[in-house]
Amino acid sequence: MTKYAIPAAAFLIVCLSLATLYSDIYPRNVFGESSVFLRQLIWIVMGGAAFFAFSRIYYRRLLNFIYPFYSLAVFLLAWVLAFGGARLGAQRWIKVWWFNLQPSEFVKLAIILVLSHYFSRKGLGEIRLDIRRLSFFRGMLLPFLIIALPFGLILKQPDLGTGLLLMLIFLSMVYFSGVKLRYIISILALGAIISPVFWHFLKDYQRDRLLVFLNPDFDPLGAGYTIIQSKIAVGSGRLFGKGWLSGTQGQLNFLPESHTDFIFGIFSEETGFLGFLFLLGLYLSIIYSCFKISEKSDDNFGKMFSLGVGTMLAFQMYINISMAIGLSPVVGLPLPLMSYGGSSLLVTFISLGIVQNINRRG
Amino acid sequence: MRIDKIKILTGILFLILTGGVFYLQVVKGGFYYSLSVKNCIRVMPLEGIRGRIMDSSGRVLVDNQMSYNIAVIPYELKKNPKTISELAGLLNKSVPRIKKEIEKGFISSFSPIIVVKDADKKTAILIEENKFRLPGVTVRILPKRQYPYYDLAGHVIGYLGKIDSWRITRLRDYGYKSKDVVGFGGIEESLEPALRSKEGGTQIQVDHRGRMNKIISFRPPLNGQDVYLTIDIRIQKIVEEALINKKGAAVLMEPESGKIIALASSPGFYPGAFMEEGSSAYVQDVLSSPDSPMINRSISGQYPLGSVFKAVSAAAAVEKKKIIPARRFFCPGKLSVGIKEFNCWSTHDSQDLIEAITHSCNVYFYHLALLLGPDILTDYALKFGLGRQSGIDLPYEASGYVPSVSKRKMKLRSWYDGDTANFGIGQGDLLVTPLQSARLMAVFANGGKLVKPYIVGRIGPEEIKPEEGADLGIAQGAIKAVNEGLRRVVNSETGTANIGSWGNLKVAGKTGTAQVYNKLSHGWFSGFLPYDKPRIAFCVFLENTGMSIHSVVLANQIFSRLREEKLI
Repeated sequence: MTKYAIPAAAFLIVCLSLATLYSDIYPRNVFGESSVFLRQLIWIVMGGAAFFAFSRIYYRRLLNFIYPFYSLAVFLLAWVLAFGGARLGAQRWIKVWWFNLQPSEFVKLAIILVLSHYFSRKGLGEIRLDIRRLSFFRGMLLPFLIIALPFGLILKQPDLGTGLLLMLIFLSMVYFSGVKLRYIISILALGAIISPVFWHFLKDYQRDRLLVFLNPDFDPLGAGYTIIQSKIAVGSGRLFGKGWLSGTQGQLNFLPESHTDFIFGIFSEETGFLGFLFLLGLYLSIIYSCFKISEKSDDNFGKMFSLGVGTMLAFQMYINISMAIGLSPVVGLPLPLMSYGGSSLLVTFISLGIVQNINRRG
Repeated sequence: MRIDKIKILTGILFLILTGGVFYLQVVKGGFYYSLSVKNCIRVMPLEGIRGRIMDSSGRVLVDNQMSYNIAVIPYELKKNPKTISELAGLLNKSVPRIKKEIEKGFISSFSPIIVVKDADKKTAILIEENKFRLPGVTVRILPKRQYPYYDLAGHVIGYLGKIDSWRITRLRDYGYKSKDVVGFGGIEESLEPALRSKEGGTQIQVDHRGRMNKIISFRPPLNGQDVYLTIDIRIQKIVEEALINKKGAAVLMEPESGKIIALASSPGFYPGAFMEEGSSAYVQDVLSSPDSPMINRSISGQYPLGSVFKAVSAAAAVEKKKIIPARRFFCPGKLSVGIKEFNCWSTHDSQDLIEAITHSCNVYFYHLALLLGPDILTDYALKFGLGRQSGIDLPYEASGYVPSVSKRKMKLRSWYDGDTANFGIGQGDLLVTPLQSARLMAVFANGGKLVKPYIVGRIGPEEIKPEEGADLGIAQGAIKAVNEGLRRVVNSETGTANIGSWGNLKVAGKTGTAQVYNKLSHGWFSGFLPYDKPRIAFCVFLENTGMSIHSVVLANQIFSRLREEKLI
């Protein structure tokens, strides 16, 4: 049963994504934005191919490539930052031929791989690892150093959403690995103490967004505008939705970023609460499949990795939807498998492909 | 097991989302639905004012003026189809023409589209008076660029235009939209982020008839920052007037700091034409003219430098101890290098270094170049800032070109001694911008520092500090010897720039006649003044003028007038 849950749910989600994108661009074809639909279609085909490829490759063979992949991802991240410095500010993309590569997406996967590998190493003769014995340094600080560099680079971009997501992935994987609870609590406390310092380093627009979250009327024409419009889009869908191609918020161009970060607004305007429940059910089956595979797997790497992917998807979905309904600040994270964007799609598909293989191998 | 707790946490997150969406869609669904159906929220944008551009003492070079623009809101027009014909009647325009304007300017149903740009006051009042007959028509007051000095310093200022597709892909992340106006060229482009205003507006709630119910919020627009340049418009004016009807450029800068005093390029253009109605013929002319008036020759034009480069060769030779300044060579009017004969423009007999600079003797510098060899010449050309951008705060600066043996080899061609000889007198592949030429003269004027030219003195409240020049480490003896030569070029009886009318201007400089294949030679005159305590380094350049003496005469005119007006 679980064997088909992930590919089936993922397939349904990308179909919904295409339908929503089509609806979003349908009235505005004049600007040649139909390419958005076509590109997404191409990425989905490529992502699907990657999923099947990775689900066939024995995942332990990938272990040799983890650190090179991690280095490459961090290098691209640094490169994008150096390259972007020449322009006015944030630059998250590298132009490769006809598409934009977003290294921060690949960093997510790299970090899950590296942390899984770190926490699954065993000493010679050890039958099972006992992370509980690990010191604060080996259990907390060293793995933190692994993510510190990409984390810093991402905050420097600045990309608040991905930074937050990396932190959450890190915390849940450390927690799952069995590191003593008080270590985790102490690092959280430390974070709480230094967070005012971070405030100082935030860009103006990011501070605006946080302030707007606390009070949407703070900037109703700028950052607050998006939240208000997104809430109208979602809310006006009511129970059954306005129907496919009948949404008005996205189509009248009220909702900015409607094909990327705010695609949920368009989707739920047209499909309503029932559509939301259906989509949520699809995510639920993917995420809980990941958890189940993690429980079932005999291999520590497999356990850690599946859990990492599950929590990554869960948090990403939660942050995206909660910002679309005004429950959390607008931090700019794509909705996995729904939002337009090749890097995100590809990374999600590859991650799920590996999980699928872990399931196959047991 | 900890995974159970993670599962529970995930479950809680799912429940929160379900609750949140349920609240929005089911509990408050009716409210939001009515908002969306009535398209209840509208934004009435308010433009801020773009920053002004001033000269060094605050004279306004680019100002803003209010202009009246007649705009329509497409959504309202759809409901009141009669409005268009009413409007057409009042404006004396045909209905199809107005419809075409609306089609062209459409952004979204509620964004106003301007159908008459920059209307006169009478029309604006007429529209306001007939407002009740014209639902959906408004008069928008927008700031408009105004140029009190007309085309003066047009290249430095740049112009405004509708954003193009190349720029929009770059600027979209910074909130630029497809019909925005942005700076093209000059300061308008390089300081776009500072000059640009931030749009504000009023967000209003309207009822189903489109009447305003209440104001939801208001955000005042933010004005752009004023920019102060380092140029003095009085000096700029005299320089540009001297260049009228000529093709060329002139640069005046402070040798110690790199501060630009005047930066002119001719022919020029009037920046206002790009946003004005009815000047499309002028714009077409400017864009298609064979004299390319849009190009800022002073920083974007690259030309062979000719004999001005001898100052660099001379400094290199003394510094590298290939000669002492008293070293004499005999000039019979030509010199054989390899199988070719290289000519001098006259016969100079026996010359020392200072005399050779004074008379611009080619033979002497062929000898120097052969003593130095091509690698040292390349080194020194680069040292003096040639072959790369100076880093001035203007866009589209050219880097010029410095030849070298290795670059030649990359093209699989050989380097001959003849090339070395030619390099020594600034001929051959060497290409230089007028700004680079003035900058290399600044090195002699300030005793050996390569400064970074700059033209923006202040952005808003922020004073721009000049960067400290890089010390090139050239011995003072070498600089002194060259400077003596440069002084005599202008002030000695036989100097190539002695036109007998320099008075007490105390100019030092070097002429250059750069040969151009199949066309008249370019004329250069670069130097500094006064030679005992330099305050200005300059370059005057004329394209295809035939002889360098034309540039000398022009420089003389400029400085004499500046002296008359007590500006130097």
